[in-house]
Amino acid sequence: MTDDETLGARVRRLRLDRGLTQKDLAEPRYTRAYLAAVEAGVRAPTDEALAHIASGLGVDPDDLRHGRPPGAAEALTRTLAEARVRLSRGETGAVEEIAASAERDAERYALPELRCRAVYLTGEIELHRGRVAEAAAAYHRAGSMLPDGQPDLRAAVKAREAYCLQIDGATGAAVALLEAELRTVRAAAEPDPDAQVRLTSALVYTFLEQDWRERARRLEREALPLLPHVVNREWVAQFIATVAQLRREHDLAETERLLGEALAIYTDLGLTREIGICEWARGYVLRRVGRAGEAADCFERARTVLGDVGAVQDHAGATLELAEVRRLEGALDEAERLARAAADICRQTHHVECMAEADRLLGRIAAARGAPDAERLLRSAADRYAAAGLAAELVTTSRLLGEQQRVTGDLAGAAESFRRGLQAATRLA
Amino acid sequence: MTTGIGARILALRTGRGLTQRDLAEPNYTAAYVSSVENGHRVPSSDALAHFAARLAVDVAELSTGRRPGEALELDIELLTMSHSQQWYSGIAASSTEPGERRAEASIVLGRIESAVDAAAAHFERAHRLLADAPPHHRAAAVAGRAWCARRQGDPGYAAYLLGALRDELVRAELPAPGALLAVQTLLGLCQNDLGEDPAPAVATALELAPAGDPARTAELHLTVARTLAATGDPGGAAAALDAARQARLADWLAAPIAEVRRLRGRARLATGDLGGALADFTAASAGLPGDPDLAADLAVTYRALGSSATAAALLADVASDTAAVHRARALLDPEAAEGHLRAAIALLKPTGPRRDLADAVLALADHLTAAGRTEEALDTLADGLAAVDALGRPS
Repeated sequence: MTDDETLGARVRRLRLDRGLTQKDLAEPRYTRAYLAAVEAGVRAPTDEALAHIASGLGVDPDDLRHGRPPGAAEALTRTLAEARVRLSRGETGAVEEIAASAERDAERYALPELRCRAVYLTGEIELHRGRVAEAAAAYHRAGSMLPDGQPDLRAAVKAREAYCLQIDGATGAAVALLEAELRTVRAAAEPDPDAQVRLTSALVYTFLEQDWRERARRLEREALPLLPHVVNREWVAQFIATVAQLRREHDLAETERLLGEALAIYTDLGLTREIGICEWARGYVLRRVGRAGEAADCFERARTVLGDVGAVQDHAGATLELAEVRRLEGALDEAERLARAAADICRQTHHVECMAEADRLLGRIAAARGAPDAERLLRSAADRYAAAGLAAELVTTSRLLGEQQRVTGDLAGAAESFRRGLQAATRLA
Repeated sequence: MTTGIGARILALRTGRGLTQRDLAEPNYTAAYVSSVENGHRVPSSDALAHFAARLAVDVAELSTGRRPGEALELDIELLTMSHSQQWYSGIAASSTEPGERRAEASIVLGRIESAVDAAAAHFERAHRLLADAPPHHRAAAVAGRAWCARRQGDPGYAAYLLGALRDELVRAELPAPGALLAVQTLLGLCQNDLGEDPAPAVATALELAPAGDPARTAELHLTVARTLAATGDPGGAAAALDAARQARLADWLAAPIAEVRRLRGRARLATGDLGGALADFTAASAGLPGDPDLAADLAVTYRALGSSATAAALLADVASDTAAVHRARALLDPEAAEGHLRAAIALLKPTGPRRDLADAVLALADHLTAAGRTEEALDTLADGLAAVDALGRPS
């Protein structure tokens, strides 16, 4: 078969392959002459005639019309699902090619849903690379070709569009988009559980970032009964991992249990990057309940996985967490080595908050050693936090700096640092 | 209800001596009329208009079974706020009432409900029912939702709801004063909660805040609406009804408006506008009766104006010694200042807010430094900052 084979030529080729005469294929409902006209391209077959011919040839009528190889839709679906897993392993280049060819095939075979899914995958690749503007453009393109009757696909695209808006600082627009989508899904005669849970996860995430916790908890309560009906298990894991963060401060044991549940699903699905993020979050929780050894193991695994899949900034974040555990354990050399490695990455990615955190950690390590540059590092961290407008972190860092100055006998400097922290706090609720 | 419409059409048709065919033609068939009359089919809005014209009745009357004017009377009743909760619930949940009326009843329910979660559910239903209404008609529902969100501990979400509506009002060129008053009043309070600058919202809100008692104003408008409805002026009655609706919203906002006045009073006090501050605090006291923090604000202002005796009298009978009351007493009585500042810090340490705790710690440190007690001042700063930091890091 060639790409530009006409429908008539396709019918003739398949008929001859099967050793049928025009009369065999046409009768009893149509005449030989009619079939000859169809094969010659002189007449376009009606839907009924096409169904009759397809059944005589033993093929699917739509496959025949669009020249699809048998099972093309199933094969493309499988390819896209595998590509999702490979993307999670960081194979962005290979997945990019798959997405592009899947989009072409889906268009040629007139499979609008799969074409939209292929474009969505392109957005996922860009997001994985941290190229938000390119990702947003891809999601927008996917949004413009959404087929009707696919609420889950629509939810996937809209959730990502909202995420891109939020990263751009347009939180209000992101919330408005997600809330409107969720309202629409819920207003359907049979609300789609997958779409509801996907949109809820996106909203809860946004609310968590804004610290609108009550609203987030309310949404969680509304979505919980839907979980057993959700088909897409990745979205179940995503929901669980997101709401686990809602509990962080109240019920750490429950948080750890939820993250373990999400981790089991991600492991089952082979989603490597998500496994890394889950390990990171678990380590965070374990450190706060005083299980430092297990926390270190989690951070170690997260660091390795995230480094392997090319998630550079997340790798640096997990490295800093591990360094902090090592500092608390008294392994200062190891802590310093890790913190310096993270600091190097942050300088390259220009991530101000991460640079400040690395400085603060290195300052605390220096303080523990009685090294003279402790004060300089802590002051640098404080200045970075102040410049980034992170008042709560400035409070913490000013406290550490003041305490350090007090230890070294600089009482006037200590008072000044404490006052700086308190001044920063006069804007905090 | 379908059967209700069918039965009404049947009664009116036979009362006028018309056949099903008479009623149907030329656009519809006798069979269609028959199936509508026996409740098997729901008439389309076009068909309903056709039947109403043939039967010489109002479309609304035909679909609801209410005589003209009856709906207006019901809308007036809704705003009297004098019915039982069940009565409002019945209208809010009714499947025959139009969305606007159900929303109105839901808003009343939200306002009389004391449990914040239940109130939020009422306002959310109103907001859903009004999803397609122009923004100034949604203001009461959105304000209700925002007020609940703030009380539930999410001033950020409340500010998002209010900011979105404010932008819509501006974009649609529908800056209805009542709607703006609600939005800007609550927005100012939320921004203050969030540590943002509330001054622009506060200024706009107070420009629009009504003088006098809005509950009384609402009653007067309702009386006008009743009279005009009874004397056959439905247009005039509807206008009076809308004025009553705005007055009810302002009445519901009495406490938030008083809080906003207090915010402006504090800003004026900070810039030395003592007369303006006194006017704001005094005006706020009607909406916040017996509020100890407001007594503290007034006491601080009177002291600055040189009336220490009035200030002391105000603090003598406050209901409880809040952190703000201790701060005011520290100002009034320098001898006892240290004790009062320490008491204020102790009250603020467990729950904050952090800004008040930090401010009290700085005040005590300044007091100790001025007395030459630098060691103790440094201890105060160190402990105070540690407490502030701990509040920001739960668990």
